[in-house]
Amino acid sequence: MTRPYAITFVRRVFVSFPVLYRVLGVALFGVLGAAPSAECQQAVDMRRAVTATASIRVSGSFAELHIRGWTRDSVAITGTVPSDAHFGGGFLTPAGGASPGAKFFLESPTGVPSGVLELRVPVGARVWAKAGSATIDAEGVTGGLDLNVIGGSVHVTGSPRELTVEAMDAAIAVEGAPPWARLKTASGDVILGAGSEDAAVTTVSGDIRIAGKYERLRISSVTGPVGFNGDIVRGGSLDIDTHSGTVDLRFTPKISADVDIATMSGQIENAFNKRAPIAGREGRGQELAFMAGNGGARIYVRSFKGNVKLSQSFLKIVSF
Amino acid sequence: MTRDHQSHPSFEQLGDFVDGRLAPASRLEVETHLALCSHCARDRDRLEALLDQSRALPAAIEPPTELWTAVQQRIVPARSLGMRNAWLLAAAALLLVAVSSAVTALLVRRPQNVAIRHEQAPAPTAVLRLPVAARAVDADYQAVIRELDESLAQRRDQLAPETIAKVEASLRVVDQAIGEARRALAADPANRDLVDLLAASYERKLELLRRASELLPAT
Repeated sequence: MTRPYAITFVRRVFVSFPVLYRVLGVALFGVLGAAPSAECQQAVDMRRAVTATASIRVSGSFAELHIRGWTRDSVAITGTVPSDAHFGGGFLTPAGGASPGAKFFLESPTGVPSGVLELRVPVGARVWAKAGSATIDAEGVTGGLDLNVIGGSVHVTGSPRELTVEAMDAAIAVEGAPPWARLKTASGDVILGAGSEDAAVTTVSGDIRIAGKYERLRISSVTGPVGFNGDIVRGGSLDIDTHSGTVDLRFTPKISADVDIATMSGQIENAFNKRAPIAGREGRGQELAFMAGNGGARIYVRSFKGNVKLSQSFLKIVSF
Repeated sequence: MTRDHQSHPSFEQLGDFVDGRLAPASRLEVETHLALCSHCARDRDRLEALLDQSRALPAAIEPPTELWTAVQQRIVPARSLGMRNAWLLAAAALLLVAVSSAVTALLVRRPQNVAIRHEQAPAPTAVLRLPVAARAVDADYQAVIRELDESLAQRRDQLAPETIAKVEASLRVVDQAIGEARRALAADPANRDLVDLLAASYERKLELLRRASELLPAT
């Protein structure tokens, strides 16, 4: 039985030139792979002049949202989303002049988070974003940010005048000193880096790590450990309540505050000064109260069964 | 966002907006804000729903005949029928004011401002002997929590299974903490710190439920 000449020829070519065979294979794979992915995406590009303090809303099933404050009075939303998704919305259109706001949304038929959006807004704008599981990062916005996700992560760089982040199990990280901040998550971790005039952080089981100089700071967790490394300004306050999370407090040695710590059934370790904790009510738990420096700020910690550790911080604290 | 921030309309403004009593310029401003602020839009929707509900109420409610007969037997015969009607109307008005205030508070209240006292004791947890302060905290929170719980249970299938799992995992953590704090309070009723810690755990639970309900698609 003789093979057709063409098959024999092709075999000879590939056996004789294995490199060519591989190159052709890779090229074919690339062409087949690239064609559908290009078809499966659609570009998003909407732009318009807006007021310097415009309110911008973005919601839907995007996987990534990058928010950037820029020094122009305009909004640009760009990116790519799946071709079967519906990206909609637009700008509020008052009679003449720049638009005071915009609203965008992304609907995916499967509901699976997909698509990457970049939103450029005037620095003083207020941005509201809501998604399921998404990565949101914001940078350079000094207006307001109100970010709401279930999972994923939220990363804010800079100091928006008003910052609200709510999540279910997403991690929240803030590198900056927003004057007003409310950060809430259930099982995600929270990091607040540089201080605030008025901040509140709550978790159920997520870790809370806070550094910087604060005027009013309230921290609350159920089982999540709490770490604070910083300073409270004179006349300010730090309130912490936790059910069973450990509390690790590191204050600058020169802090002036009235300290009042109690744990119902946990223990207090004081390495900040020589004051020893005393037994709590009915011999259970421990309490520690003293005035550091000349007093003035209030540090109030209550824990049901978590341990509390107090020590000195030698980090340079950034003031807001 | 919080309403205390100056860019949000006050509750009175929202009420005037719903009632159509705002000046055209203010109305446009509030309209623009509502298009962009989900919190205020939700409050507006609640106010409108409340208005619709109140419109659906009957203009007058006749008491049952037997009740009226009993009342008639007890009242002083010398009083005129008109006077009796006035007292009944006053009582009905008071009742209506109390009921509508309670409904309004229930619908428009912010979760963190739980202030309404509910008379009924929480059924599953009433076995512990809690101090008065803790009972008040219990009653305040549990009534609201029960409402949110029921509302979530009814629309549970509208949430993704993984979201439900996340919410339930955190709720278990909070419930365990609440249980421990309540048992500790029963043993040490005068401990004010324990009451505060119990309230804080309830607050976390309320936040969780509220957040979960906000994830539900709008109806």
